[in-house]
Amino acid sequence: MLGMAPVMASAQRNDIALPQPAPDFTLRTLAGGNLRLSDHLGSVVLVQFWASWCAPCRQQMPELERLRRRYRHAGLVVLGVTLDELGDVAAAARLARELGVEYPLLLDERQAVSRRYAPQRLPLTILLDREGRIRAAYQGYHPRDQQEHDQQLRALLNE
Amino acid sequence: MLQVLKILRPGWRHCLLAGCLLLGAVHAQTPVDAFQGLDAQVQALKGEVLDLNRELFVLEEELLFPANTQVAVFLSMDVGEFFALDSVTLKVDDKEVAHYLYTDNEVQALLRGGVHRLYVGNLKSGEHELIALFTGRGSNQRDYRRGTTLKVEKGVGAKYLELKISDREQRAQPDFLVKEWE
Repeated sequence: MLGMAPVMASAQRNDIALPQPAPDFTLRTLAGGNLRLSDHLGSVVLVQFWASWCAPCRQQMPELERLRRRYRHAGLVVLGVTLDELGDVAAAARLARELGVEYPLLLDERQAVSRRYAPQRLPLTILLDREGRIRAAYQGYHPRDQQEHDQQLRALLNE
Repeated sequence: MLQVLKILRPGWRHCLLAGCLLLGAVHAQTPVDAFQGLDAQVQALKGEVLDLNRELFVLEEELLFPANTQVAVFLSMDVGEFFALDSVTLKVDDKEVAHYLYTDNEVQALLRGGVHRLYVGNLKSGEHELIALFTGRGSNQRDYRRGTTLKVEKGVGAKYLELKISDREQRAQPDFLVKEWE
């Protein structure tokens, strides 16, 4: 757990010692109810850390929704962890609706999860394999990287 | 080999012969037999690893939470018709020591008789105040928040407490109890 921050920091430089087990968490969803990461063992999980004020996050979200629709039957689960303050949650929910996002959005009310994963740039996108291990982590987003991300995701789904 | 057999006493001689025959049988087994043997070995190894893991867990618990100062708090649910559990926050002497969000699966497990260890920690001897805050939805689907307090006298030896959520049929309300295990 303590080694998480350096791991994420080095994810940008692609010299990370992955895979490593993803720290488990339970968070409240915007739709109501709670969701636990480890309940999705057996699926490939993409976790996006985002905030409504982050422009690249807004750019990435429709892409993630596209991936979710395309690969959900192949075992892909997409989760969005919002780093918005509790007062901005309504804005985050509105934005998600406008962007057509249907994947579960989770509230990190106590910021315990974001402290563990320590994103240095948003969005932070993490790919977990079916055994719950972090296989890739991307800090920030640019549409030109999408193809490479898709390939990595397909490779994980095929494992 | 014959020299060796001659030197040995009859009992030992039989054992050695049986061993040699067994060894021959192992060498003569088919690939399927060998695979099954390997599988059994892997299963045995897995069992040993699990045993070792359990022993390490117990050892770690004993080191981190010595029996004299240990306090453990468990949560259980009974029926749950009037209350859908969402979270529990536990405070000891006004300091938050645990906060847990329950998923639907976990609530179902509790309703089927499961018990969740919410907290394990160390407390000095003497009186302590324990506050548990429960959030969830009541029977009318409205958000429900309830707290319960207990004064705990911590003596020598481990203390086990159970937070129990049960239904109070007469008032159609949930009931929150704290029980000390003897």
